[in-house]
Amino acid sequence: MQSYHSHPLNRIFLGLTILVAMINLWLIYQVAPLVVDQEMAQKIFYYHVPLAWNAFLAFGLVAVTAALYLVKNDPKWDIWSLAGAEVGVLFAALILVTGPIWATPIWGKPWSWEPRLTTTLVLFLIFLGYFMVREFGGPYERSSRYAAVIGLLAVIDIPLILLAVKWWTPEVQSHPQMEMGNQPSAVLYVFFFSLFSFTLILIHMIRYRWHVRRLVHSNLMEQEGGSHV
Amino acid sequence: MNFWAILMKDLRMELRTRESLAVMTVFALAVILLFSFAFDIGMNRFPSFVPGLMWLTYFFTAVLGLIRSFGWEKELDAWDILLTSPVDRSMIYLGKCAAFFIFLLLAQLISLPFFMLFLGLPLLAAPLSFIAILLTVDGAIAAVGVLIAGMSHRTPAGETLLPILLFPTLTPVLIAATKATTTALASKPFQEWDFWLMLIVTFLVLFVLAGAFIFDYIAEQ
Repeated sequence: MQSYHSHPLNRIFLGLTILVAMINLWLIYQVAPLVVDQEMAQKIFYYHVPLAWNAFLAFGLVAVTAALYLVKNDPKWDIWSLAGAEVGVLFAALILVTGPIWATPIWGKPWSWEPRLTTTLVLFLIFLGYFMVREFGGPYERSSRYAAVIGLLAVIDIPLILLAVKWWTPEVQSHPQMEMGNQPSAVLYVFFFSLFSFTLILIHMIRYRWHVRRLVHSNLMEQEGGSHV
Repeated sequence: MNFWAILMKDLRMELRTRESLAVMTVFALAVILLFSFAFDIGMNRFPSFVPGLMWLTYFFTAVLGLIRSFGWEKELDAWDILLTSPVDRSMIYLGKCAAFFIFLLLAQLISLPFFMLFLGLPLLAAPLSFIAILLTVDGAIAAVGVLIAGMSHRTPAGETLLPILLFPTLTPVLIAATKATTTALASKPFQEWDFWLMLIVTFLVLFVLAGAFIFDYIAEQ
């Protein structure tokens, strides 16, 4: 069995991801100007928002591959789905940490039921259930199929959760009150670079988890005498 | 019609055993009593959190009912027999949804007067609005509940997974149901809570469709 990083292309991709992440750090702390009123607290915005975009990208992948797995019954899609869910949940956890860190100095309290953050929390809970189904769901194929259903339901649920929380707390500011258009263009460029950097990290992590999960799967199939991916 | 066959099967079993209804009703009553003590609510007052308590109570009641509803299918391998019968899987899903919807509604009809009596819920302030909310929310709970219970009853972890998967998924319904009930019972005009009703109906339609489509893939032998 080849390890993921023994493949030269994967090594190059890892190097590129790390390089871009280092440049990203330098840009955030050295190049991007301080935003009026927020000062250093605003810097976490360059992590928080790209993390959020990418987490939902990962959950999108979970939904699409889960649907493909249910319809085509090909384990390949199930492994993609699981890899996406793992990285998506990790990113969601980071969103839930970085959000309150930003909100504490700016809004004066860590948690104020901001709709997007609350939606992430509910989604995080649903995906914890997703992993419980994987873990305690019985035979591999059955628990995979059940998990696929949960992943699909979770993503169908996202817009409804977001709407419900938004209407539930109409008085809460729905976003860091920061007009992107009014900021110096350097803020915008650094933000997009950070988005690019985190997308690279996401792709790398999902590909890595996919590799590991595929090994686990083929090991399992060997033990059960089933078919390979 | 297969749908009616499944529905009548569940109703007939309930009529003979009265198990689901007894469990759900007694549980709801016990919780109402405990809530009355825990929150120290006097008569003639309507604390704003009572609609939330009511819906939480029915969420838990629904879990018990779902466990019972699929408990029958476990015994004597009834589920496998049901799946080998020449019935469209989505009809099994819709039939079980309808049966569970009726059980939940009956349990509520029996226990709701106690919410009025003990916790001061002013249901008579807007009875029609409340019925509309009740029917749609019960439908939404049934749509997701039967789908998830249809999976969880087949796992070794069994019923413990059901609330863990069900409650987060139902978050928007709980928020909408609580807000709609609070606003409607305060005799506010329909325009002030119609969007909540729309949200519940959207959830209901979306998840009934998803359930009918997906049930085929989870209902394996």
